[in-house]
Amino acid sequence: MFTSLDLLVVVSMGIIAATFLSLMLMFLLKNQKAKRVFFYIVVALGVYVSTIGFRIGITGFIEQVVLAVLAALMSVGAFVLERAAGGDGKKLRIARIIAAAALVLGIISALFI
Amino acid sequence: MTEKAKRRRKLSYEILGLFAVCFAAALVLFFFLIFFGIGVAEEYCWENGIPLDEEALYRLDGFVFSVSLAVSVIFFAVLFIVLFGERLAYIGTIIKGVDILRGGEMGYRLPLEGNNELTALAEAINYLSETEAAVKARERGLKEEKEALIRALSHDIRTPLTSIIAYTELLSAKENATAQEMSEYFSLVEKKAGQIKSITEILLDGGKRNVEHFENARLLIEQLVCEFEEALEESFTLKVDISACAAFAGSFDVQEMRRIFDNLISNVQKYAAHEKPVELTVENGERGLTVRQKNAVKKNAHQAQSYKMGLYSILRIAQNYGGGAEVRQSEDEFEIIITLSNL
Repeated sequence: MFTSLDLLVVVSMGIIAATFLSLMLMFLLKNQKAKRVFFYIVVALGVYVSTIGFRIGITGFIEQVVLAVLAALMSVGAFVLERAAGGDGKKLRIARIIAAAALVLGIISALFI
Repeated sequence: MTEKAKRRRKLSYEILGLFAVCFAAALVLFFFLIFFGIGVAEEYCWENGIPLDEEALYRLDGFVFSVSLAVSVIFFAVLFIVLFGERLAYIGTIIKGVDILRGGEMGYRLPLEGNNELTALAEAINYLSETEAAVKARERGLKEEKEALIRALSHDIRTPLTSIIAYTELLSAKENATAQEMSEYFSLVEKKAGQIKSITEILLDGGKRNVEHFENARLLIEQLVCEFEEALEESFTLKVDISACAAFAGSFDVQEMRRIFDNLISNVQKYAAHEKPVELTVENGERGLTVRQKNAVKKNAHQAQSYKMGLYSILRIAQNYGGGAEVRQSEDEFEIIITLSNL
């Protein structure tokens, strides 16, 4: 029977593994369609972990809240940039880097602070 | 071997490299998860006031280790399968491309990805399809050339044959043909039959020419011009001028020259208006030999396929001499300028 601690450990490890996996695939895959799919996964994960960090931090940890909000805004910004890029390779690369940074920031705010 | 071929990576090394990268990433993740997992668990216990004795710690470590290992293995499997699958997807692209080529679309080219044996395979397939397309195009060209030659020669056989038939009908209609008329008839039949024989030989020999050298080719030109006049003087007013053609040495296939003039005669007889004179000029100069023939065109003259065949035949013969034939035509007038350069 799993305790709440076991579940906490499993879920947080799963989030970290999913983060690592989607970041690696977003940058290593050559197929543009697949890259785009993993970009959207990274953005979605970034927003999700930001909400976790926000909900935890809202109880009194202002730095956590600030980081979470920043991460969420960066994720949304990356998404908007990707839609507006119109196939421009440079803009797409920048969007991916911003999304990756947002996800890492969100993980830090949710799990490490 | 090209530079690219020398720098080509082996697919097996690429796959091994991929395996190594995925394994290294999984290993890093494994250790990271262990430290992270233990940290989260200890933090949770500390915040909730849960005491961790040795047994609990041992159980916790074991649990974190197992979960980290499981997650890392899944991570490695997913990462390796996705990246490896992307490499193998190129095989599917190649197979699809081969199917397209097999379907007859020889212009299709396989996209080239990476720089390994699969890329070499795609390059080889592209090269083969390009070569096959080129061979097929050449075959088509040769076939068209052969058919054009047969059409032209068949057309040229018709002209002397028509003369024989016409003269035969003329004599058959006469009740008492004189000995001279019979002699002229036999002479014509002999000459035209010789022409037909030469053209047939060209057809059978696949277009072999019989070029002879003439010390004074002007005599040949005079002969041909004379035959031109004889064929047309009864029905047309002629203006013939060969004063600009000085004596010159040259190499000609007599039958080819005859075919040029026969085609000119044939076109004049079919399409020239009788009201205006038919002009023929022959001159030689730096460009070689130039034959100019001009006439007014009959009203409502319908130019049959044989007209085009005649001009095509003249052009092909002129090209054998490194020259050409230029046609200038309006509703009322026709002019052809034949140039023979390599004599």
